[in-house]
Amino acid sequence: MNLGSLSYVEIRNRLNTPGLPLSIGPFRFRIVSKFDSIAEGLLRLYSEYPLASEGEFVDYTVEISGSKGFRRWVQPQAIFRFDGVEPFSPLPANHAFPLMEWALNWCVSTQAHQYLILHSSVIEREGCVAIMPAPPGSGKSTLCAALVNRGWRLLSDELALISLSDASITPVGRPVSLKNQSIDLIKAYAPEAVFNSVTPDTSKGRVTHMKVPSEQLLRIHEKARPRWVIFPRYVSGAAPDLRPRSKAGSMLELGRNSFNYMVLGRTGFETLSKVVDSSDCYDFSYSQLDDAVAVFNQLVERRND
Amino acid sequence: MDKSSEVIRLCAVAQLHWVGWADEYVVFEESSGQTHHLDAFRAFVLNATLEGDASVKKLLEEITGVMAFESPQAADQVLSSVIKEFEALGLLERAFV
Repeated sequence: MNLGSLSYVEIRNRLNTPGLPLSIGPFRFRIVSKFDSIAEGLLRLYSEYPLASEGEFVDYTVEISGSKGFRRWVQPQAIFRFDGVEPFSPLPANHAFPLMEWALNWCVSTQAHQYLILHSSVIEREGCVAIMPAPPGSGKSTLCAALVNRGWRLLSDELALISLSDASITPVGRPVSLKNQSIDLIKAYAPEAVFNSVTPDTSKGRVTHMKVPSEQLLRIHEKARPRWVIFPRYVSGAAPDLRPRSKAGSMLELGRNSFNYMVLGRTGFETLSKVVDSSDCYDFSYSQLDDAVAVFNQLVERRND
Repeated sequence: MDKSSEVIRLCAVAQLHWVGWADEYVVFEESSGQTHHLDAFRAFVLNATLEGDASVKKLLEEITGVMAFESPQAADQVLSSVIKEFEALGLLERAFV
C-alpha cells in the first residue's frame, strides 16, 4: 500500500496521530507533524513510496512540530525533534517541509553506520554508478537532477550508502533538493518533472524538491556498483572538461566528504579503498547541462574500452 | 651522535594498512584513525620500517643510488624532512643503536 492510496485528509490525520510510517529506500521513518505543508509535500513527492505497516519496526521517528505559547501566534516556528532532542535550531513555520527533508538526511547521516556514508549524489546507468561528491554550490544537485531526467537512475541526491561488505551502493531514492537558479533551470530542462512548492528565504535561499521519476522508484531496492568517482564543478561559460585525477587523492577527498569514515575506522578505510579501486576518478567542470549529460553518456559507452 | 647508528622505527602503537595505485599510496593508521596520502618516496621510507629498525644511513644509500640529488647533503635534508613529517604525525620515531 503506497502513500498515494490515502487521501490528503487521511495523510494529514495520520501525520498528526500516531504518525505516518513510510518506507524510503532501506529505511522506515515515522513522520509526525501537524503542518499542512508537510502533508501536501508528502502527497506530491512521496505518493509512490510504501506505507509501513502499523507495528512494523521503524528506524527513525521524525517529529516536525510547531512552537507553543506566544511563539504560536507571533513568528511561528517549525521544530525538529528526534528522541526527545532538538538537533537543529527552530526555523520559520513555512520552512517545515524542507526542514523535514533535512531532518531525514540528518537521521541517516548520523545514525546509519551499517553503511559508509558519503555526502554525494549517486546515479546509475547500465549497472554502473557514478558517485559525485562535491561541496555546496558546485552544481552537484543540478547536474544530478538533469541526468535523472535523461536516462540515469537516481540512487541518492545527498547520501551515498555504501555496503561495508561488498562496497555496493543502496539507493535511498529521495527527492532531489534544488535551490535558487537551479529550480528554474531544471523546470525548463525537464518540464515533465514534478516539483514541490518553492520555499523562499531559507538559509540556502529558495529551495524545492523534485520528485523521483516513477519508473526509477520501481527499482528502489536495486543496488549497483561504483564505476566512476566524479567531482563536478559548475563554471560559468566553461566547455565541458573531464580530467582524470589521482585515485589516492580521490580517496582522501571522499574520506573528507564522508559522514562516518572516522567512526568506522579500518572498516571505513577498506570499504572506501574498494570504491576507489573499482572506479575511474575525474574532475569535471561544465556550464551547460546538455554538454554534461553527453559527457556522462560517453563514459557509459566507453566503459569497457 | 654517530649518524651511522641512527635508525627510524615505527611507533609502538602504530598499525598501518595500505592501499596503492600507480606511484601513490594511502595508509590508514588504526590507533589514531588518521589516513595519509603518500608519494612513492614517503611510501618507501615508511615501508622500510615495517620489519623493524631501518638504518638511516642505508636508506640514504638506497635513495641516492636511484634518485639524483645536487649533493649528499641535499639528499640527507630531503630524507630528514620526511622523517620529521612522520615523527610529527606520530608514525615514526628516531633512535640510535
